[in-house]
Amino acid sequence: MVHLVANHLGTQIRITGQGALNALEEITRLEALLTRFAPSALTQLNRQGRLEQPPLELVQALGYALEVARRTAGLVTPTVLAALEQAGYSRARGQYLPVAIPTTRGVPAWQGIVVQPNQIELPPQTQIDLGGTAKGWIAERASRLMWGSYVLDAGGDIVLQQHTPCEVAIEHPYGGVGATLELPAGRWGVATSSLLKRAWLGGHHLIHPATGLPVQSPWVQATAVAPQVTEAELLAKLALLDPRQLPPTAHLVVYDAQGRVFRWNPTGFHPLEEAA
Amino acid sequence: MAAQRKFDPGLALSLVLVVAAGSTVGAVVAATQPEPVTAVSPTIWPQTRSEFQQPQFRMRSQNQRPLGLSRGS
Repeated sequence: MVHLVANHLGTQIRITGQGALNALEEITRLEALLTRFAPSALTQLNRQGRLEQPPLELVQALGYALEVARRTAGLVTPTVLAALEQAGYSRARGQYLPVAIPTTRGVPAWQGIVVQPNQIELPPQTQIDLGGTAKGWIAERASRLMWGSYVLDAGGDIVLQQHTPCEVAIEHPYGGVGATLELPAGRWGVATSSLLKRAWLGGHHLIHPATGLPVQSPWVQATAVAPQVTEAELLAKLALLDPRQLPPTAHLVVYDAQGRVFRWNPTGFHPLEEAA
Repeated sequence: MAAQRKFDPGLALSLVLVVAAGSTVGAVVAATQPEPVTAVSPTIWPQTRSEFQQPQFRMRSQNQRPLGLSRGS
């Protein structure tokens, strides 16, 4: 059984199973195209406002981000880069410093972005950050290069395929292991979004598009599971941004600031009880 | 005039699903005469096969070794 550990996507990647090397190479390749922390096709697009003959993967990743924006009525949008930087998430990964008192009133609309196979064009004053969707998208795509039983853990966004039931632990927002997740045999995606990670004094990385400011939520962390990790990643973000948009059937738990855990069901959030 | 029998959907049809080792091995559908029976509590058979296949969150481990740790990001 192949087991690889590497640092990519601003986190630690752990891959176990057949095809692990292929998956890691795919993650490396896609990160180089989509990162905003180093010269890439994305940074070129943001600098120029348009890109002729863009890499196919940028077209696909941005197309997926816009599809998510459409599905969530703009709640999860890639047009948050300026707001992120103003809030303090600078262009250097791991460096957080507010550059000014945030004055933004919402983020640019996503509808004006033109994505075509031979050209991408951004409206004026619009810059792109794919951080809201790209990690899950990359993990999902890389996992397709694996076979048999495997686990691809991209910093907590996990894709796994197992022939027997298994268990995934969920990190407690204040350290250690919190709740656990029992999964039937099959292929699953698990994702956790936290307001306590990539956070700094007075801010964090999850921007509410209506205000352009870090979202204020009753929850500090959300974990979702779905057949695809892209869906789990989206559900976890929705739980923090606006739980009213959650589908009743979503499988997720949230932690509040006191470290208490709640499970989502069709009637809302309820304390996760001890197993009988 | 023939007496009209009252239709009781709870008794008119019984569906027995035989599930063994996680797989459905057979299904028997039998029409039965409406006669008094002791209904099986629905709480005994709440989980359809699809529900068995749903993920379950627990407060703590059920003594299985976790395959991964979903960390906040």
